[in-house]
Amino acid sequence: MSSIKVNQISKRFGNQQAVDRVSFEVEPGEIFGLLGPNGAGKTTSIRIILDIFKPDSGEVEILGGKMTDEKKNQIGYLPEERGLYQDITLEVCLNYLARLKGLKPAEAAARVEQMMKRFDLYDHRKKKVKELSKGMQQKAQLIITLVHDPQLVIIDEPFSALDPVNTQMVKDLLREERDKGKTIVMCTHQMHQVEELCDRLVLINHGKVMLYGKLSDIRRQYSGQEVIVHPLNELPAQIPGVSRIDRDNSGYILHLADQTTPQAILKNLVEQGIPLERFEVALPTLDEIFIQVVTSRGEVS
Amino acid sequence: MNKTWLVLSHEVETIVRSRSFIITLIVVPLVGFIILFVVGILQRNNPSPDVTSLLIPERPSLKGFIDHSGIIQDVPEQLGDIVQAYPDQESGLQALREGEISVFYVISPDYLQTGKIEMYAQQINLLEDTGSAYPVDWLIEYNLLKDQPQLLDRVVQPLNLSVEFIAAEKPPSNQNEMLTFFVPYGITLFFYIFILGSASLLLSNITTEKQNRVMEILLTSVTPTQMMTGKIIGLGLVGLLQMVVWLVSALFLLQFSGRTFTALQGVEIPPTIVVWGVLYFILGYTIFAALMAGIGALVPNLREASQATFLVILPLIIPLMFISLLINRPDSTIALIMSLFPLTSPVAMMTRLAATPVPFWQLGLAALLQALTAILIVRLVSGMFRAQNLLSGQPFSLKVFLRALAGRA
Repeated sequence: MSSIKVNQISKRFGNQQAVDRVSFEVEPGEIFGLLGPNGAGKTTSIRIILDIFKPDSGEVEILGGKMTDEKKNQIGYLPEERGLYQDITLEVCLNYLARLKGLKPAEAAARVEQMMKRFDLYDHRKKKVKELSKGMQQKAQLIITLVHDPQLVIIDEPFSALDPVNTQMVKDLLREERDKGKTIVMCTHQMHQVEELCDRLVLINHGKVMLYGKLSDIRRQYSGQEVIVHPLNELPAQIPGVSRIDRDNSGYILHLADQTTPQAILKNLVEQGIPLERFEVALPTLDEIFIQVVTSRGEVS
Repeated sequence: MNKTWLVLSHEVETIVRSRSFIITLIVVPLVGFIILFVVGILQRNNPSPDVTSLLIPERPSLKGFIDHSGIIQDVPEQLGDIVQAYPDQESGLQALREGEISVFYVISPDYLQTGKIEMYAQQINLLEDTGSAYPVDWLIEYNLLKDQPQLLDRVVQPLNLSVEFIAAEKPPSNQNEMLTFFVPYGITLFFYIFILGSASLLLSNITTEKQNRVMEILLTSVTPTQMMTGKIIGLGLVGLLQMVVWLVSALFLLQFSGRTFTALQGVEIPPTIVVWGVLYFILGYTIFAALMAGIGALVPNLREASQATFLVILPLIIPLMFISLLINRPDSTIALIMSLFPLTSPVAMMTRLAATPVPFWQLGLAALLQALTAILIVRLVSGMFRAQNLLSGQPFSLKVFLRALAGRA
């Protein structure tokens, strides 16, 4: 059973098609990346998944079926538009929002206390939320997202406004939740965070799915047009099937012509008797894939 | 239900503990106390029970006249305190200038032919002074007809009205005029203060949640209907608490200052009015509070809400504009329509009910229509909470509001 199954959802606001026949599935126990540039339709997709918006067409299954009140208690959500009650104390605010997720009063109080201690907020519990720093409020948001021990966590831009120490803490926390079997959907445009954390991803642009699958598969899919070569001596100026040769530190990057495979280049270099220290098919970074996909506007069927 | 209760108790607790609420709760009775205290000091030398005497400049109670027509031969002794005859015009005007009398009437020699009387005064109160020339007009009637006391009685009091209702039910409180007059005004006033107070509280509460951006987290924890219901009941209770505190302190202040509302003494509100009143009150509050919540869902902040707030308050103002018609002709078609149309019905039906017996089917129908409207509006507004309006912060427009009400946003 998938944690989330999105099937051909579409949503239009006025003249703008925010989401256009988007489909993907999120498996239990994985960190799934929902990527896309600003305004791509990520947040709208999440709001449809969470039943805040109704889609114009298509359907969503969450934790094995339609959204129910019971399921809302099993979902932790950190929205992009962060917010807390400003005029009440941190402790009251966290307790109220925890209890809205179905926790009993004593249970909520114990969990909130435990998490405030973990996030170094315990000493600030009697302060009004508006007196806390932005980073502290961000940590309080994360407590609200995780306090009820949800099965499914959906977080929109989890690292914004966090310093490197807290960013690392959140990363550790997300991995820890995944290891406990929780499903995590991470919505971001910070590609290096996705590369570090996500198992699979979907990339949306202009409301459409551009890329979808395992991170390693996607990188492999976009590889093959460049190879990294470290020869013992110099390379010949011309190599058949290579359109351009760039120097890269102690080696070379060979840009392959269309229809040329890395295997053909390797065969050619070996036949020419050029001694090699290293020969590697260059895997593009997610950043490069992202830019390539977003600028070419190709669509995945 | 559990989450509705949670929202309700959180709202009540948060507001009741907030500094602004406590200050408002204390300041209003305090202002009342100060006003009563000042009034008390001002009245110490002039123990008049009439508050209006403080608002209108004080004038001597004695009035003067000179009768050139020779009709007034006799001034009864009991009028000696309020009217004074002067031998000539100059001495009368002198007395007026010196403030001994408030008004000086000059009865013309040809009064019987022309009815002409001239009036002199330092200040003329148009409402009080131009309508009648009491006691001079009474003196003229008295002197003309004192030999025929029966005729004098008929002239002074032409109607000795005896009213018999032929409706099946007796009118409430035997046409208790105080009841017909004060109950509708009292109820309308109570509605205004309560609905404007509580519903505005709801409006500001929702816009604050939008500005704090808590709404999206709330929407993934509770359903819009749970949230709406919790807030409407919670803030209604807070409003009620506020009203009770104010009313109790008002009664206490009145006791303290040794006064009572003489106007309300002897007014006994019949239980039927109380029962229907409570029902209409709850339904009316639900309708208007839900509409206010709807505005809260649509406007980005409180400042932009005023235009829409007026639109919502308008149905409350309409019965007030027609209040004399509702009291005097409670069975007219327009009164019937207003007392059945759900938005004007809570106030209009109460006004009618205070003025005349209303058939049971009309009372029931009004309650039913109000209940259906309340359910419909709560459902529509719940839908608006889900709508993108809530999260997008777009500027308010009437078109958006009406579209959202129609469930198309």
